[in-house]
Amino acid sequence: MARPDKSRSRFFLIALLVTALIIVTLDLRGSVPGQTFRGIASSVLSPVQSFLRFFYDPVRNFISEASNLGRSADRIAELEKKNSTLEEELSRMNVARRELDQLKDVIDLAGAGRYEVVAARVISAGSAAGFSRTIELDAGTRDGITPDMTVIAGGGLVGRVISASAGSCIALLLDDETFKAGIRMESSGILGVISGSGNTNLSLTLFDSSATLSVGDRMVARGSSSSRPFVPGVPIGTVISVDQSSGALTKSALVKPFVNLNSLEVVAVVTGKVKVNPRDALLPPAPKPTPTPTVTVYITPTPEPSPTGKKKKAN
Amino acid sequence: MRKTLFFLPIAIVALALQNAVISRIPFPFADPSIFLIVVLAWAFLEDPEFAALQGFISGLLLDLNPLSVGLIGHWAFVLAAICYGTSEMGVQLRSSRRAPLTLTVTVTGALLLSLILFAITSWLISAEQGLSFSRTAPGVLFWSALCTPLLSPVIIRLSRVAHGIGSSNG
Repeated sequence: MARPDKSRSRFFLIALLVTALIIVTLDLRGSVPGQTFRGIASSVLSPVQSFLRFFYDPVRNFISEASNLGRSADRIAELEKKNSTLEEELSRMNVARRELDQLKDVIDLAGAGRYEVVAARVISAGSAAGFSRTIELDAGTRDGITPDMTVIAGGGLVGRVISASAGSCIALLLDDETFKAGIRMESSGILGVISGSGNTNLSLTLFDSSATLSVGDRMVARGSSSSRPFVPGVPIGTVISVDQSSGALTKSALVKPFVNLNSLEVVAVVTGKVKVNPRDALLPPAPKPTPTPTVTVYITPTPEPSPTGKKKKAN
Repeated sequence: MRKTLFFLPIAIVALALQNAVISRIPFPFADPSIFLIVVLAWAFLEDPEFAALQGFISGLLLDLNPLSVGLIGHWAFVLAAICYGTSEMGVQLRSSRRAPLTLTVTVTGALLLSLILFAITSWLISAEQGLSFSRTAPGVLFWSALCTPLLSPVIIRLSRVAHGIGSSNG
């Protein structure tokens, strides 16, 4: 048996459905300002949603972090690996760029001096514990290198080859205490000998005790017969202090080499005989002296009052 | 009328919860529709006349949801009809109406019918749907079957409170 209010509720349902259909039809025809109504609904829902988000967001973040923990760790490991690879690559690039610069400089120097050279990379350096300043180069007899050949870098003289094997050779650096080379002073052409002192500076001895030597003077290698062990014209260094003691038969000074011997990466070994002495042509351009300002002070004496004048005033 | 006023804030909170929380959780398949579960479960516990009105209001709320892009009145039509039918079923099952299993089965069934009716009416009025029925329905029904038993004690309790308000105040 049907409930007495069933027909009423059905009628009510039909009324609601018809209302809904009317709303749909009106919306289809564009007669309902949908955006306005949705805006009103949004203003009602927004505060509630904000309130719920206030509690939910921290929980969500925590869950997200927890669920991504494994993946994050993997990702971090992957990125760290990639990062170290890139760092390694960058470091290699920097080394290569530095080597390229040094190679360019040494080739330029060799070109200017018309030296026949073999470029070589420094593969190791002797430790101080070995009591010698030597470097090992990755070129040897196979490349035409034999003992007593000049080793140069972009800046100038580095040393000389003291032994060579098929694939490598050992060079004695010019700051080794046993190192000695004949030099010629720029412009004046005075001869002397440079020798290693065991530290960064070199000792210079000029044979002519009356020669004028001053700070800033530069020198090149004098050259040996048959260009061995030294080719002529290779820049060596600059005088940084002069020993002024009188009465000595020779004149000595301290010289700073043009080449930084502690940062050698690419050098060249001069393998051929030098036909033309480049003399001072390979020296870097001389630094221009900066003018020192001079101050001239004129003092004008003030005239003293004469005793007669005083007398007159007293009278 | 008082029951309607009691239900309206619950529906608004359920919709806000759906928008702000549930829909932002990446559930597999599809996200559960807490709002529809609350509306249909509530309708199951009500008398048909009120259920139809409550369905109509809930549907209208869903139509006016800022995240909705459909026609206004579409969900109102669907939910008014389905809530009425759900309530009729509840009246038939009066003895076991508040049993969680009955509630779960009925709500999941009603949800399926709602989706079907919505899809059919969409097709009839050529309304565009962002997601296809086959993509939406399985996930929604799966989560509905899981969530309804969890939500049913709260809904039943709130419904009792609403009934108390309704009977004492008219």
